[in-house]
Amino acid sequence: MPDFIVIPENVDQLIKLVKFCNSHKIPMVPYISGNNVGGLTIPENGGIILDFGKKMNKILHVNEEMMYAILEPGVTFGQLKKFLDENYPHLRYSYPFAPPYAGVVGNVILSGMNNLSCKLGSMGDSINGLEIITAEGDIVRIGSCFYRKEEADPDSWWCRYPMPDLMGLFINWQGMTGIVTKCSVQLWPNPPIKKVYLAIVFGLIDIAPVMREVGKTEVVDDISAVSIEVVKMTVEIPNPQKYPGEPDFVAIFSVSARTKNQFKAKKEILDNTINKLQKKGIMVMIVDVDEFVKLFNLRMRCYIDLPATLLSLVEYSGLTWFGSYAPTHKLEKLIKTVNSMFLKYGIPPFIYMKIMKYGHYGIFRPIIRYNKFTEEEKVHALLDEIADFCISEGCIPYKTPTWMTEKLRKVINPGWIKLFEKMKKCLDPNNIFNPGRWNT
Amino acid sequence: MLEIEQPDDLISISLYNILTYRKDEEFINLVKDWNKTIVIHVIPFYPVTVIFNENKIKFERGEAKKANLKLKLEIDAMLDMANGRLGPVGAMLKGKLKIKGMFRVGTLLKFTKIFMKTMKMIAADPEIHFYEKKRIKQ
Repeated sequence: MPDFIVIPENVDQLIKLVKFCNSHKIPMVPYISGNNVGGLTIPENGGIILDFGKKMNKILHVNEEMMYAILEPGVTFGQLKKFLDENYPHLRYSYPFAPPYAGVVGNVILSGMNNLSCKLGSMGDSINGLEIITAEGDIVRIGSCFYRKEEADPDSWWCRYPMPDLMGLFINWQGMTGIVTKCSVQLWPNPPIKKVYLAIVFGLIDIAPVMREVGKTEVVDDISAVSIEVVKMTVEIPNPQKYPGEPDFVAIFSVSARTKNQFKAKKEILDNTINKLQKKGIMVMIVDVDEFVKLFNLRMRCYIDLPATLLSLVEYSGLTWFGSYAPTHKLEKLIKTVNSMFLKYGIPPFIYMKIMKYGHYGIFRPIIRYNKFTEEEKVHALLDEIADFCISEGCIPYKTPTWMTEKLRKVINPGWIKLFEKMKKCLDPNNIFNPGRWNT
Repeated sequence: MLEIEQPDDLISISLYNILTYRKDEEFINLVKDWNKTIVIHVIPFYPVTVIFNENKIKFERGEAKKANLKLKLEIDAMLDMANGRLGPVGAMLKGKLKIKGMFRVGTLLKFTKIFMKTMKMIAADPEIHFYEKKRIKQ
C-alpha cells in the first residue's frame, strides 16, 4: 500500500518532489489509471503514488505536418482518440486491447501492442521523444527535442535518432529510472477505407501459418487471433468448451486503403494468400467481419473498435495473463502445449496472439479469468506452468510482475543482469523510482 | 411467448441469435405450434438440428435422422443471401444451398419466412448494437 498519493499539476512541482524523495529515500510509483493486470502501480515498498491521471493529462501539441502528438503522462487512449477524431480526423493513432481509460504513455514506454502492430510493431517503436525528471531533479529531453537550454520548441519533437539513443534507459524500465513527464508519439495518416476480415481456422495449430503468411503480405494493419472459446465468452457462455466441428481459432485482419483500387489490390493479395494456404491443406476461410458479426450478433466489435472495455475480460473477479513477445516460428508448439495446460486444469483456453511488424515477432498471451478466493490456487498453478514453459521456449514477458522477473533473472545471462543493475544504480542510486520492480 | 433455449455451441448460438431477433406477432404466429424438425448445416461447420415444438425452440448439435427439412448452406452464401447479393435459387444453382425435403413446399415456405426473412432483416438493421446483451425490438 502507498503511504501517500500525490496528484501533481506540473513539472516544477514534480522536480521539487523528486528532490525531496531522493534526499529522504522515499519511493515514488507512477500511476495513471491502475489498469495494468500485472499490478505495476502497486508499491512494493510503500511511499508515494504519483497519480498523473487527474491533472497532468493534457494533449500538449499536435504537429500535423510531421504527424506527432506531445502528451502528458495522464492522457488516456479514449481521450486521445476523441481528440484526434474531433480535431484531426485525417490523422490516427494506434490503440491497444485495453479500455479507453488506460493511459497512453504508460503503455508506450512499456512497449505495449496496438491495432496497427502488424505494420508498426510495438508502441515503444513509435516514440519520437521523452522528457524525464532524473533522481537529481534534472530535466532531460531525449530525441530531436534535445536542443535548447530552456523549454523545447513544441515543433521539435519529431525524431528519435541519430544521436546516442538514451531512450532505452527509460523504455521498459517500469518507472525505475526516472519520471516521464512528456512523451511525443507518432501519428499516422488516417486512410478513408477500412475493413476488417475474420479468418475462421479449423485445426489447433494451423492458425500459426495463417497469421505468419498473412503478416508477410504487408497488406494488413493488424492481425490478432483468439481461441474459439473466447468468441463464445463474448456471448456470455460462462465456461465455454470447444465441440467437434467447431473451428479452433478466429483471426482478425484489418485492412486500410486510400482508394478503392488500392483496397482491391490489397484484398486480392489477402485472398491469394488464403487460397495458397487452403491448397496446402489448411482449413481457413475469411468473411467480412461486419456482416458475420451482425448476422450472428457475436458482439465481437469490441475486439475491433479499440480502445474498448471487453466485458468478457472484466466480468469475473479475477483476471491474469502471461503476456509475452514470442518467436513466431514457435507458435505451433506454444499453442499446442499451452492449450493442453488449460484443459488439464479444466479452464477454458483463452489464447490471444498477434503478429508484429509483418512477422518479425509475435505476441503470445494466454489469459485466465477466474473467481477470486475460490479458484486462485488452481489459476496460479496454471499460470506458473505456462510461464515456465513459455520462457523456456524463448518468450519474453512484458509488463512483468515481480514473481515473473524473479523467474527471468534465473535464466537471463549474467552480463545482462550486471549491466542492468549498474544502470539502475547509476540512474537511481537511492532506489526511489518504483523500487522492487524487477526485484531491485 | 416463445421459449428459446440458449445453446453453447457456435452454430447453435448463431442460429439462436437469428431466431431471437424478431419479437413481432407475425413471427410468433409463424413459429408457435409449428412442430417441425429442421436440420441446418452451415458449411464448413457442422449440422445443427433445430426443433420447433409448440412454443419452444431448442437446438441439438448433429443431424437428426428424421427431419422435415434438411439444408446445407455455405457460410459465404448465407452472408450473400442475408445481404441481398444472392437469392435462394441462385444459391441452389451454384451448389451453395442444398435442400432435402423440397417437396414439402409448405414447410419450405414457412422456413423461408422464419429464417431467411429474419436474416435479411438483421443484415439490414442499422440499429443493431453489437455490445448490448440483448436487443429489444418494439
